[in-house]
Amino acid sequence: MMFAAGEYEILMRTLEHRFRFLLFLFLLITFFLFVQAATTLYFNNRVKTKSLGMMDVYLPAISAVGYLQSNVLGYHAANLEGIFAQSSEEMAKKEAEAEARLMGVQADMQNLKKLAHEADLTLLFIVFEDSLQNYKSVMNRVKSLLRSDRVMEAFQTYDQESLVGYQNLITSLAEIRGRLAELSGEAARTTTGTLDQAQVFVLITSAAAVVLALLTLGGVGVGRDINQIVLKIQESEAALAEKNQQITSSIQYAQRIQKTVLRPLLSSIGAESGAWAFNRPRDIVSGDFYWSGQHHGCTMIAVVDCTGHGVPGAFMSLLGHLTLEEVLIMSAQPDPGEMLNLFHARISAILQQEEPDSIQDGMDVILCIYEPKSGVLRFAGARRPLYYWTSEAGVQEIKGDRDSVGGEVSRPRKFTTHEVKVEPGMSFYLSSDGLADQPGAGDRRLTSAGLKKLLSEVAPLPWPQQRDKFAQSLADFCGSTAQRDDLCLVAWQPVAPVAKIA
Amino acid sequence: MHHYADKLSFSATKVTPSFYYEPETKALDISGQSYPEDAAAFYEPVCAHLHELFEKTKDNFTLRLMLDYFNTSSGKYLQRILQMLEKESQAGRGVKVFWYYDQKDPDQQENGLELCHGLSLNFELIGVDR
Repeated sequence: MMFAAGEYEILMRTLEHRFRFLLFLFLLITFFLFVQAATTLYFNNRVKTKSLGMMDVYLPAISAVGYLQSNVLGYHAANLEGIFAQSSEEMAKKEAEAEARLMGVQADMQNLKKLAHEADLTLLFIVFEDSLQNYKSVMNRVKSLLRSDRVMEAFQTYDQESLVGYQNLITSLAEIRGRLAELSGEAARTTTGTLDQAQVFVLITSAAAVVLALLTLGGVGVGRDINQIVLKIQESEAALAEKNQQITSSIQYAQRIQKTVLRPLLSSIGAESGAWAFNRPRDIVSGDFYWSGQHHGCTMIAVVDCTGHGVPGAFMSLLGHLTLEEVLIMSAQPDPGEMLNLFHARISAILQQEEPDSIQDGMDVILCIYEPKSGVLRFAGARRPLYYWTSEAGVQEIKGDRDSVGGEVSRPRKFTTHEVKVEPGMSFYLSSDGLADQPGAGDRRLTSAGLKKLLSEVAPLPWPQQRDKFAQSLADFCGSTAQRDDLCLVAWQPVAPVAKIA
Repeated sequence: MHHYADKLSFSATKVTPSFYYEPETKALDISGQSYPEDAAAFYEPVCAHLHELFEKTKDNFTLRLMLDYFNTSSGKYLQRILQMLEKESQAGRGVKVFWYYDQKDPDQQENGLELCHGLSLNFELIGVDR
């Protein structure tokens, strides 16, 4: 399966949005968790503190109730012993004992009252106090009946009421104890249980939140999406690689066509004159090309630098090549300036550059025509100079015109024809603009001056070594910097006429 | 026209220059390098915005070019921009173009000369020390 253009982008954007949403929700949940946990901990801590505080109340209260109970028992026992005393002496003794016990009961009650208030036992204490009052009044009645020797009535009252009063007392005390035990047990449970409960709560909440987040956000769905996207990327990578392979193969075949068309060119110069070409396309096929031909007994060489590089450049190069052939046939005189004028007219006509919004592509050209008979080399340049070398003067430059061939049709072209008298050993260098513009270390361009310096090192060398030296020097200059444009250089050493000996 | 400050201002990439339009002084600065694979895709919108700007205002216009390197395709579009300015200038708009070049780099100076060649424009080459 293939991705249409932009589909990656859409997918990635969707994914990004999902992740952003996930992140937002994750933060929200984390915040919620934090608030939950914090609230729980705070609340639990308060309960715990309160419970611990209450333990300080319950534990003494329980022991105080214990003392109270024993005093109540002692009081009751003293009362009984007093009632059944054999002598009035013993009775008075027991009465004093009961009085002391009652004092103890009242002291215990005083202690307990404070605690009872805090432990919320007030109601039970009121019940106990009532029972105590009740018991006291019964006992007092029994005692006064005994004092007035109404023994039978006394025992009857004792049997009927005081036992009930005592039972009530004990029951209300038991109720207080039971309630206290209950409260303290609860407090104890709270104090030991709170932290564990809080932790468990946080754990459960976080687990629930994670599950919730995954389910809510369709985490499973996102995972599936990612898998699908990865799969699709892999598929389209393979498809891209295949496509790339196809395109590369197709361009490589195009290169064969271009080479076939351009190859015979140097051979047409003639074996007697030396020439070499350095042609390095940036992308397999080139927008730069060299051309040569014979016409009217003259040798012609041109280097043409078409706008653009790669496939569009190569299209232009074939157009340029064929048009040059056509121009050659059409030219009555082998004049390079005239030929460039004609070349421009033809190219702008073919590309319909008179039309508004037409493509403004064109060619920078350096065209040389050598007449062996006279030993004169004529040339014209469309935004390209001619370099030549003599052992005496080194590398010289003659600038061409500032107009290009093709493009910008508002101005008529009038290319200038320059002349150079060819001396033995003189060599000429025709180049595309890619060489001077090629960046090296630090992104610094070679520049025209740099190219001239390079040529001045190459030109004095024996002819067969020049090309290798040039290629090596250029490689040294480029270093690891990538080639930016197509590069083309043609070196030519026309055979100078041999002075005839009369 | 601050509107055009947005449309005609963007930063440079490795292969395209930066544009900066200053609405107060009505000046457009283009600087950097220009060698995009598809020069049309980069320059057509720029030309359209410039065209629009010229249709909507009568103000003077200044173009400052500081280009270390531009390929031939980009050069064609720079030429088109200059032709646009030439037309504006002929229609009565005050137009000034400055080409800044490294004094140590005669190629850069030559590029400027090639660009303004054949145009009747107030075009000034200014050599600077880099």
